[in-house]
Amino acid sequence: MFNYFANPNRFLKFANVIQPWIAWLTIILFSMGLFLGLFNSPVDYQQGETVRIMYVHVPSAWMALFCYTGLSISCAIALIWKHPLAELVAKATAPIGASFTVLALVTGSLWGKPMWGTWWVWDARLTSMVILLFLYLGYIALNNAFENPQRGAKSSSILAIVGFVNVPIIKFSVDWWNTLHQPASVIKIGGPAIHPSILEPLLIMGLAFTTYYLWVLLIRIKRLIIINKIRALQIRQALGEKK
Amino acid sequence: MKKFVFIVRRDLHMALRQGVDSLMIVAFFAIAVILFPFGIGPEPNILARIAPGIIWVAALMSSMLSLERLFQNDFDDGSLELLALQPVALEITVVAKVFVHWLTTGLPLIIVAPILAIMMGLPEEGLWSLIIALCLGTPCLSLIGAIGAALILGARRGGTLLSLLVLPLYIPVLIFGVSSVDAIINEFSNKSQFLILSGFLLASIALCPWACAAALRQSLE
Amino acid sequence: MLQSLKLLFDMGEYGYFVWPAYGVFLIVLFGLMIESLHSLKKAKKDLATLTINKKEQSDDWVSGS
Repeated sequence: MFNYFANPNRFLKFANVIQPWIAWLTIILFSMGLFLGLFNSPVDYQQGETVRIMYVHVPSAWMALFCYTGLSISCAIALIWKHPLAELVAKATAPIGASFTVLALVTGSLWGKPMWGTWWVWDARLTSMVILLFLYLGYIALNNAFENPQRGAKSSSILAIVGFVNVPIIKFSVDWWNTLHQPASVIKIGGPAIHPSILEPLLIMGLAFTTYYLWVLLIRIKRLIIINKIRALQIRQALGEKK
Repeated sequence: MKKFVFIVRRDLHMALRQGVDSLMIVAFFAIAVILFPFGIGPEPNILARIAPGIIWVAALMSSMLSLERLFQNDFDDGSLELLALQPVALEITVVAKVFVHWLTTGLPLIIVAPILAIMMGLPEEGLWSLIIALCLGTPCLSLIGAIGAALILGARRGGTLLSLLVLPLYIPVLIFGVSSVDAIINEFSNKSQFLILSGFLLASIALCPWACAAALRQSLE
Repeated sequence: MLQSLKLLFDMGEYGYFVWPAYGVFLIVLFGLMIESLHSLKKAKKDLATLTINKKEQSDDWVSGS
């Protein structure tokens, strides 16, 4: 199956078949998650209605990390096995992951203002998210910095792997830095314990975000395949005209 | 080993011929630090409190200035290809070049940093810690930066892009470097910070040349 | 459930944060989807014009290539 999808046309056919299913699954999951989250779950006695922000903030943060992991694994596969689809998965995932990171930061800030009183707090989680955003931006910038797209892809793949290795180091350092400077209170997201009626919508939203990611990923990979075709045609035309 | 020494001598010769470069980096370092009293005000308490942070951040920025040229010249005139084709591992070439980078960038920074620290009013207990922390940290900066320098060979706007790529990776060194000085000033032990910095250094020496060589090979394809 | 609906619209001060948060959520998700679909459409169009041009070119040559 691995080698089966190395052919872009085969992948396009596959993508066209499963895309409607994923699209519908996304819509259903989001409807369920938002319904349960907004209408059918309890209000935290401390945080009040702002706890509802959690249903978009926490899944965004999960996805931001999940996408970066996926990005790095695809890059490793692209470098080691030179699988052409892996390169496309990586390149398509980056902007999606970056968007999730921005979403996590903005919703985190909107959650923080009523809870901690300020728009921004240098707590370990949010700070790590900012650094993650820069890792994404660096990958995207490097990918697009070369005339030759292959070179861009390979260079940024190495960067992604280096970044991925650094993620636990950065997380460790930022946690350490934060406990050093943090005054007494430690904010625990979700409250003292996660009640099942909060957990259920959260997990459903997590799944919804994941299927949404797959949906957009398919669309973006299709576009990248077409762009590769265009490039190939343009090169062939240019060579043909030279005759 | 002979190869290593050869490359070190060759690069050092080239660097010393343009000795101005090291001086420029030191000058940038100094002025970057000196900007802060202008921005924040000359009150000694505040300056002393933020001195370790400012010096470290300025050191990070200065260290990055000369990274762009680490491989660029050799890449442009074709000698990088020759170096890659040698029977001796490319990793050794990388270590040699990074070593020269540290000698011409990191070492001058370490020498000048205490002067700037005193100007910023850093308490004297912190000075030795600052020097040791910089000794442990600046090689890491050169090693990690080398990976970035290799990745941007042939890219548009390489210099700015390099900063974007490398600065997030510098953050752990920054955190523990500053903390080792802050801890001593506040009368805590900074052994754990030094141990962690040493760990970073060892890990960098082990992993960075390998990643850097991979990036170089990839740029030569 | 009607009661939760009422609570939902009467969040008091918290509303100023919860609704913008969901607003940003919708903007980001819809925005990303729309941008992706739009660029895909453009790419398909570009490919179509390119292949039409190529066909027109090869039609000009008698021998065909």
